[in-house]
Amino acid sequence: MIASALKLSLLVTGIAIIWIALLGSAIGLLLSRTKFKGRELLDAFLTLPMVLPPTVTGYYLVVLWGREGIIGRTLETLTGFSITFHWTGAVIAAIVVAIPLMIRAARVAFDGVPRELEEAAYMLGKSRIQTFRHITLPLARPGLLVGIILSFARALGEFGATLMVAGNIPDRTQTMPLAIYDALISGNDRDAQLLVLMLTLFSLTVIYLTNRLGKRTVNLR
Amino acid sequence: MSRKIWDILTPSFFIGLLIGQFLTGCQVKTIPLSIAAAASLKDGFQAIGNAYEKHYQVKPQFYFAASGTLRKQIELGAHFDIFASASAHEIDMLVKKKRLQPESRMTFAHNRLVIVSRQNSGLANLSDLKQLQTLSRIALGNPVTVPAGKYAKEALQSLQLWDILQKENRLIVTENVRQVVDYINRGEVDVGFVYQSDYHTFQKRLKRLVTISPTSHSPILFQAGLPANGLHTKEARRFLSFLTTPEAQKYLHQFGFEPAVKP
Repeated sequence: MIASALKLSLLVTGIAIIWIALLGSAIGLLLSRTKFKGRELLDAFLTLPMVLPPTVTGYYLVVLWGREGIIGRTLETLTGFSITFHWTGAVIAAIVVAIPLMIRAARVAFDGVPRELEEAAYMLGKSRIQTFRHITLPLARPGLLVGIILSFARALGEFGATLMVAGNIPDRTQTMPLAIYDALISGNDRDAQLLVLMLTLFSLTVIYLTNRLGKRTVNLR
Repeated sequence: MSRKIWDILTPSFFIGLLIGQFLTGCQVKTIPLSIAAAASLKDGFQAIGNAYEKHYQVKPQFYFAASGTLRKQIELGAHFDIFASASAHEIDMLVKKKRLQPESRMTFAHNRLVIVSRQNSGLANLSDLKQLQTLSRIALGNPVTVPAGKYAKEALQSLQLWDILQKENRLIVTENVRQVVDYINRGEVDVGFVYQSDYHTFQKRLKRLVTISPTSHSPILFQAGLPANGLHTKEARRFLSFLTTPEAQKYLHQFGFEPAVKP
């Protein structure tokens, strides 16, 4: 039970974090660098899953992605595939719940890159892509890493929305947080303790790492 | 700026404390009888609770969840005056751990297991349970905590279907038996294992495909007893004896339970 929960958690969080890192950075960059009508409204909307109780987010996800939902039904008629009670449902839940942390971190990180340095690169004849790769990205990297670590931790710990979308099926959708709940309820105290210990140690490492990276961000500015 | 925030926060903290005090004060007065009951008992017990209140002017407070979940909560020290379980097994375990008064134990109803789908599912009656292998999603309660799931597992095992369905990923486990009804209603699963009483309660939306033979699983006994740490033992005993009165049994029957055979 522990092994399969651990494997599943790593699979789900691993795939989720790739999407979170790419999408979250892109959205963070968009929010930081472009001015458009409704920008703050978009930001607020994207931050919502971070503030909402996970069960509320879960409810929306079920309504949208369920077999009878708009997205869910379309997906199933097109591909014959449904994310509910499947580990991909847990991935969707993890992405939606954790991506606000990445977007926030990325927006702040890109905001913190001095525009003069980018302009200097342009004046020296570098293209936008070159400037982004060699100036903007390296300067924003510590902030982006903080975002990745925090959202990874959030995605790993996701419980409420995951339970509602993917269910709690041992070996198939039972990630570590769900396995802890299950172990406690069914009296496998030792399994629960082991999982709790693993997640506690992991979280401690996360806080330590983010603090260290946070200091580096300040130094760079 | 921060001064202003504190000017608002400090009084609201104290007002919050006052409201909390007030609410807990009320709670102590209005919950003289707290009952932890299996999720399947929800509608039947609510009707019985209303009748009980009319007779004795005491309003029982119900907590409905999977019997196994409630059993664990009682083991961990939760205070309930009565525990009503959908299986004798959970009661056995509590008695063994000295968390339930053994002499208080009683059987108040029986039930049967059925397979249901949505009313408009277009599925034909399951004359042979082997046909379950043609359905992609079958819901049942988590056999570890949900008695209805445990009975379903036993029935599937007796037909050598459990391992096959498990291997083919056709089984969806739920937190309690009423969640099976919910999944069916939402169209997330094709069919599910519920009690005859659940089918009775949601007849308008569900279609019964088959009633499982009672010989294929352990007997479905709804048993109740008094947790060792209950606070209102006298009131709780009165409620327990009320459960086997013709009036209470009539309500249980009305919601699809079978009457208790008195020992």
